[in-house]
Amino acid sequence: MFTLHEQLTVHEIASAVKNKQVSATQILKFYLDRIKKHNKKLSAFTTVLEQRAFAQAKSIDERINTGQKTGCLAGVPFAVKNLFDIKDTVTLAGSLINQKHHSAKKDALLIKRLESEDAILVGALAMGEYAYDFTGENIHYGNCKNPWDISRMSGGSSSGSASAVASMLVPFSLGSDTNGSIRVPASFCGIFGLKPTYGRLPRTGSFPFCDSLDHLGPMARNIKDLSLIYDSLQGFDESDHACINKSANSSYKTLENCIKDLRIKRASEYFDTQSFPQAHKAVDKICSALSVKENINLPGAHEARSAAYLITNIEGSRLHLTRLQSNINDFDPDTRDRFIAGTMLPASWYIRALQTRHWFHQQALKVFQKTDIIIAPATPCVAPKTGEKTININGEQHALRPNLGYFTQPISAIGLPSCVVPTIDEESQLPIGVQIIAAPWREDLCLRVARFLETHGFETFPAQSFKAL
Amino acid sequence: MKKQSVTIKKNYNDTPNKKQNLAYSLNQPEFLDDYYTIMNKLVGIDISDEWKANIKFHINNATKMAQVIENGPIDENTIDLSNTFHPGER
Repeated sequence: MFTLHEQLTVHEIASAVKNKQVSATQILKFYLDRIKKHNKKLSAFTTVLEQRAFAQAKSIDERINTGQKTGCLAGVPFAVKNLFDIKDTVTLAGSLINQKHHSAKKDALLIKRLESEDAILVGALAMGEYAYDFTGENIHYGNCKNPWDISRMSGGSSSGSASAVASMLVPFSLGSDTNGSIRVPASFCGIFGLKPTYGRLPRTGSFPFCDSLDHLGPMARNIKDLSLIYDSLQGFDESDHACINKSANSSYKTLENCIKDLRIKRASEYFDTQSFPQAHKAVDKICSALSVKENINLPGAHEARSAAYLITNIEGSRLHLTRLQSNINDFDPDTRDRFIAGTMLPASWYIRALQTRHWFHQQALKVFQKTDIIIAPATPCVAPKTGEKTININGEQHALRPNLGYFTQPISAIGLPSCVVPTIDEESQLPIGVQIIAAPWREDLCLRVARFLETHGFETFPAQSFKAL
Repeated sequence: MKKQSVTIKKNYNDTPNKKQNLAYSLNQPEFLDDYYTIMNKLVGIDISDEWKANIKFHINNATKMAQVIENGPIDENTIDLSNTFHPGER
């Protein structure tokens, strides 16, 4: 007997739809009802594509009823950060300015790949303006809320992608990550998020932020789902100049492989968590579950983080220069002032930042000759209250916004794959994530270790107030 | 676009930093102020005076980041450039 409920996995939905225990249309209706009921409180969705989704569900049901083959994601609803192109929809990228743009003529490539496996796109999700954000706050469309406590930040910039999955409005979502924009909200909302290697997934049909750092990736409530989705997304596309023509990394087949031969180490020095008690406890718990005994230093992480900050500020500001010149009053003040500052920075800093990234990349590759997996915090703390502006580091107050990405920025600076695994902070009863980092192109190892942890209690728990329909 | 007159009052060669570059000069408030005033005039963005303090705060943040990489372990005379960055073997 099949029962529809909000915690169904991607596997359970696809299997039930294929076996005619439930129709794709019934599944879709269930999730659309949840979105209607909860989205007002969360501001996770900016667009709901009811008509398109029902047409796709109907097509899947017809094929199943006539005995035709369907894909591995048959009938599974999903949603995407609103920087992905959706045919006949304006690609907002979290901005007011883009509202004046024409609708996209076709879907982003990753949407096409998911729909070719019969997943159903149900909508576009909230994000920080032009992805320059770690908080989930957005002056134009309202702050995206954290389902664990709606007075707290969802994290950003893939705010809606994390909030919608954590509140079970969709089983999975797609986000983007330039400096931590998948990993920070995954940490705050208590879900799994994968930032693959830079160049792994084509960004074709997505609105850019910082070309040399932009990644796309999936977010889900369990590792089997995340792995299946990630495998479905892979494949070279020459229209993204950063995409590398590598053979697919079949993570799903090796998920349950033993991890005892993996050399797993705890990141130290820059990643030391003594000043961040919530992150410290989270990393302790993960290292204990994995029996990690050895620390490892990623030399140059501090410099890499600084380089990523400058590269982002300068590349992003150049990308938006014409909009800054013509529509300055339509920017969110929080992004506006940073972009303006970026237009004023000297080229010599940018070149030095690129050199630094190149150097750090070489240091990291040396580390990975003797290490398979590095464990590091995802965020310094659990989700702060919405509107907070500062964070305490070593007894001093620092600006909150840039420092939420303190632990994620050095990793994406050199495009390493990283999967966030959720833990619960006992004191606050809020989630906080930990990064599982591997060498370039070894997403399979990140996911394998994450799967081991999931089977040892590090799983996504339902945010209680969003449990029942 | 606002018109602003810029007067360069200071002798930038007299900066007390031994390492003479922007990452050090801009760390000094008076130099940052002049730099901001010049750049404000040049970037072609209609910047309100109300935003000045916050924009300078962000330039100052970037300056701190620039200092970190200027102080980093890379040889100052390196000819090892970086614009062929890729994440691993192609």
